[in-house]
Amino acid sequence: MVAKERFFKMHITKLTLLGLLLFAFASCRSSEGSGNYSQSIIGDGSIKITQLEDNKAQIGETVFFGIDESSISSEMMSVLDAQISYLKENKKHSITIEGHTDEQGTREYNLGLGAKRSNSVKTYMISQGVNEDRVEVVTYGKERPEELCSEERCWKKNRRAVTVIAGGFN
Amino acid sequence: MISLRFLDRSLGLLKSLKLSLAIKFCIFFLSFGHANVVVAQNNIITLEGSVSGGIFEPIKVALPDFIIRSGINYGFMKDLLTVLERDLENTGLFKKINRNAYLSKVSEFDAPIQFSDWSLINASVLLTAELEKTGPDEFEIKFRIWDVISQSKLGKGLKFTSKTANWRRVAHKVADEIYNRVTGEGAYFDSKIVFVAESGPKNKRVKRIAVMDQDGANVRFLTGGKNIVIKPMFSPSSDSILYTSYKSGVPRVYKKDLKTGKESTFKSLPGMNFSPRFSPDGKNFLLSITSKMNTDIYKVSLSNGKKTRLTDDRAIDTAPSFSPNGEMIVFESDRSSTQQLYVMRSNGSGVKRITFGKGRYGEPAWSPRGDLIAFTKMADGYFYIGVIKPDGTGEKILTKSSKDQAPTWSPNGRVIMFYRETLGARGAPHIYMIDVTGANLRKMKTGSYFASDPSWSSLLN
Repeated sequence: MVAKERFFKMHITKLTLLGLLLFAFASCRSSEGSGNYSQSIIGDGSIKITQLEDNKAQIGETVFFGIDESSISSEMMSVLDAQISYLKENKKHSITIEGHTDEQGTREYNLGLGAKRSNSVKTYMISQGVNEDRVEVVTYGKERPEELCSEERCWKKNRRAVTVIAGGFN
Repeated sequence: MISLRFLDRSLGLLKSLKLSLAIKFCIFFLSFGHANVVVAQNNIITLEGSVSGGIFEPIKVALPDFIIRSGINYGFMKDLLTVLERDLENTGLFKKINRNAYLSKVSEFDAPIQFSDWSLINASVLLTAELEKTGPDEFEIKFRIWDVISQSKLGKGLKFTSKTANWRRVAHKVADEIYNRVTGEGAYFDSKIVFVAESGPKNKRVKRIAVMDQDGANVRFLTGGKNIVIKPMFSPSSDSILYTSYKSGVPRVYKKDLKTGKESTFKSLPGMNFSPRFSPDGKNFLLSITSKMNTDIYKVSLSNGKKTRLTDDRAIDTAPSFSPNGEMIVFESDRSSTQQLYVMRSNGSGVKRITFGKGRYGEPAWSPRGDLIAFTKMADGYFYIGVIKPDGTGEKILTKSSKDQAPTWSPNGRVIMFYRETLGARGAPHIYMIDVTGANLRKMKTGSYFASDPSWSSLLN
C-alpha cells in the first residue's frame, strides 16, 4: 500500500508581481513513508480506508552542494533569491529547511553536515531580510536520499537543502 | 537469575594445565604470522593476535551429549548443546569433533574420564555435563571441562541453576566458561546487541530499534518504526539504552528503560542533538549538540540533566567514546578540514590528534580493554574498519568494502562488530563480526530485516 512519491506542480498566483518565470511553481510532494491514496476495494467488497498524511510543500527549487561543502554557490544563491522573494510575498508561511547529504560519509558526521547545509541556507535567508522567527532547520544527514544509485550522478542530487512550508499548504 | 556453585574446591594443577594449552596456542599462532605472540603469565594465557589476518588450526573440542536426569527431555539437551557449540565454533578458535567419531559415551557424571578415548580422536578439550530438572520451571546443569592432552581438569566444575526459560543464557554461560578457561580471554557469549532493524526501500527506510542475543536469537523490537531512529547504545549495566529519534521532528537523544519500557528525553538539551554514548560508570553521557553551523560535544549528567561543554571548535565534533577507565575521550572532528580522530581528557582539555593517515577517520570506539580504538576509515572510495592505539601508533586495517561502518567491541575486546552496506538502489546494510586479529569475518543473521548501527552490551550478570 506504499504509494510512489508523486510530484505535481501548483501555480502560485501572486508570482506575476515578481515576473519571474524562474520560480513559476512550487513542487508539492507527499510526505515520507505515507500512503498517498489507499482506499481500495478488497475481495469481499469491503473498503479499507487509510487516512492520508498532510502534504509537504516545497518552496522553489532544491539547493545543491559540493562534496563535503555547506557554502552556497552563486548559482544556488539565485535559487534561494527566488525562494526569498516568495517568502517576502507570502508572510503567513513559516518554513523548515531540510539539510541532506549523500551516502558517502559516516552517519553522525552526515547529521552534522546536513545541519551545516540547512543553517547555511537559513543564514543567507536572514541576511537577505527574511525574519529569523519564520525559519526552522532540520538535518536528515544521509537518512533520506532523493536519488538511489551509488554514483556521483545520484550523490550530487542528494547533497541538498530543501525548503518546505511548515505544516504544508492548506 | 542464574546461580552458580563450585563443585570442586581443589584448584588442581591449573597452572600446568594452562601452560600445556599455551604451548598449543604458540604452535597455532606462530605458524601463520610474525606478529603473533602468546605469553603465559600469572596463570593466564594472553593472546596477542596479529591483525594482519591469517588462518590457524582451531582447537578440537569434544562435546558429548549431556547426561539427562529425570524431567529433562532429549530435545532440550540438544538445543542447549547446539547453542553452546555455535558460540564456540563462531569464534573460529574452536572446532567440534563430529560425534560419529566418538569412541566412548559419558554416562555417569562423576565416573573417571577415559582420556585415551578422547585423545585418540584428537580432542584437546572435553566437556562433560549433566542436566536435571529441579523445579516446575527450573533446571540445573553440572559440568566439568577437561584438558585431554594433560589428562586433567581445566579449572573447577560448576553447577548453574536457572529458570527453564533462561536456557539459552545458561548455554552461553557454559560456553563462556570453556572459552575463558581455554584461551584466558574474558567471556562474551552471554551478552546482547542493540541495533537498528531496517526494512523498505532506500529512500523510505523504516527503522526500528531492536535487541537480540549476541548470537542473533531472541530479536525484540523497542520502537515502532514511525520515526527515524539512529545509533542506539547500551548503558554499562545493560538495563537502558540511549538513542537518537526524529520523534519531535528533529533528531534528539532519548533514553529508554528496558525493564519498564519507559522513554524519556532531556529537556535541558537545545535544538538538534545526537550521537549519545554512556560513560563507563553509567552516570553521564556524551553527545553532540548542533548550534547554527557548529556541532560540539557535551557531557550530560543522567541524574540532573546538567550539561558541560567539552569542545568549542568551529567544526563538526561528534562520535565520542570514553576510555574504559573514564579518564579519556576519543572523538572525530573535521577541524583540520577532513574527519580525523582526536583524544582529550574527560574534561575536554589536552586535545590531541591521533590519525594522520591517508583518508578520513570517524566513528571511534574505545576497546573495553583500553588498548585499542576501532574506527571507520574512508579512502580511495572505500570504507575500512581498523584499529589504532590511543597514542596514534600501530594503525591496522581489518576490513575493506564499499561501505563498512560503525565498529563496536565485544565485552572482552576480542571481536569487533560493524555493519556493511551494499551499493546501489537496492543497497542495504547487514551486521558483520571480525576478530581483532583480522580473522574470521562473518555475517550475522537478522531474519528478514536489514541491520545497522550495532552496539554490544557488557557481559550480562
